[in-house]
Amino acid sequence: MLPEAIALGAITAVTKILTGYFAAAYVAADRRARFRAGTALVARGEFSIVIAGIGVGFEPQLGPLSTAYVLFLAILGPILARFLS
Amino acid sequence: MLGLEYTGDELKSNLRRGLLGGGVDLILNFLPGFVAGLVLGWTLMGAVLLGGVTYISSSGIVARVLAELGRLTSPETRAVLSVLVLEDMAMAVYLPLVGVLVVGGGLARIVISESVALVVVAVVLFVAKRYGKNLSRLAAHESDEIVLLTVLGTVLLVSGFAQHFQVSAAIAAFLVGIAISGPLAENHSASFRHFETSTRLHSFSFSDYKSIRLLCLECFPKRLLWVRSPL
Repeated sequence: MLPEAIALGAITAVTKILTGYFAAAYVAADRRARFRAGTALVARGEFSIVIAGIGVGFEPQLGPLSTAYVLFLAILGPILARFLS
Repeated sequence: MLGLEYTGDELKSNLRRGLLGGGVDLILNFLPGFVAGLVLGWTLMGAVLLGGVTYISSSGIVARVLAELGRLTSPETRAVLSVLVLEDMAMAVYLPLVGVLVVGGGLARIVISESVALVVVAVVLFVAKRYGKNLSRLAAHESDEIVLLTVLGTVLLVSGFAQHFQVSAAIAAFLVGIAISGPLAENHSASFRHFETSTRLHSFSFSDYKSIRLLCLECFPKRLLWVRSPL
C-alpha cells in the first residue's frame, strides 16, 4: 500500500496547502503568510489513526494504507511548514 | 480542542469568518480520500473512513509546529486555528454517524446517535461559554498532575456510562474532551494541550476496558516527561 499512500499523501498535502491559502484570505495576509497557513495544516496524525481504527475490522487495506499515509504526512507536514515558507 | 489561545468571543467571530474556509477544507480534503477508497474497490464505508483520514489535520502536530516556529501570534494562525476547530466540530457529527453505520444500525439509530451527540455538543459549548469560570474553579488546581487526574477520571467515568447505555464510549470521551478543554485550558493551556493528544488518541480504545490500563501507563510517563522538559 506504500505507493498508494505516498500518492494520496502528495495529493492531500497540496489540497491542505490550498485550503490554508484560501482560509487565510480573510485575515488579509500577504501571499507568503497565506502559504504558511497552508503548509502548517499539512500534518495528519492521531485523529486519522483513530478514524482508520474504526474500519480495520471490515476493510483490511484501510489500516496499512492509513498507517503509511499518516507516517508520511506527520513527517512531511512539519518539514514543509519549516522550509517551504 | 484547539484555538484556546483566544477568548471565547474572539474565537466566535473567527469561526464565523472562517466558515467558508472550513467548507473548502472539507471538500478539498475529504474527497481525495473518499475517491481513492472507491478507486481501490473498497466498500462505501471504507471510502468514507479514508475520506475522514485524509480530511483531518493533526491539531497536536500543528500546534507543536506553530509553537516551535514562533507563529502562535501570527495573523494567519487565526485562520489555521479556525480550520482546526471546525474540523473538530465536524468530527462531532462524523464520528457518531460512522459509529452507527459500522455496526449496521438503521436510520432510527443514526438519528438517535446524531441527536445525542449534537445536543451534548450544544450543551457542552453553552456550559463552557456560560459557566466556564465556575467549572474551571471546580476542576482547576495549582498542580498540573491533579488537573490531569481529574480529567482522566472524568473521561473514564463518562465513557463507562456511555458504554453502559450502548452509546459509543469513544464519542463520549471525545465530547468530554471538548467540554473540559474550554474552561481548563484557560489556566493550564500548556500542560493540557500536551496531554490532550494522548487522551484523544486513547479515547477510542475505551470500548476495550483492558486498554484503560494502557491509557494510564502511557499517559503518565508522557506527562512526567513533559515536567522534566518544559516547553
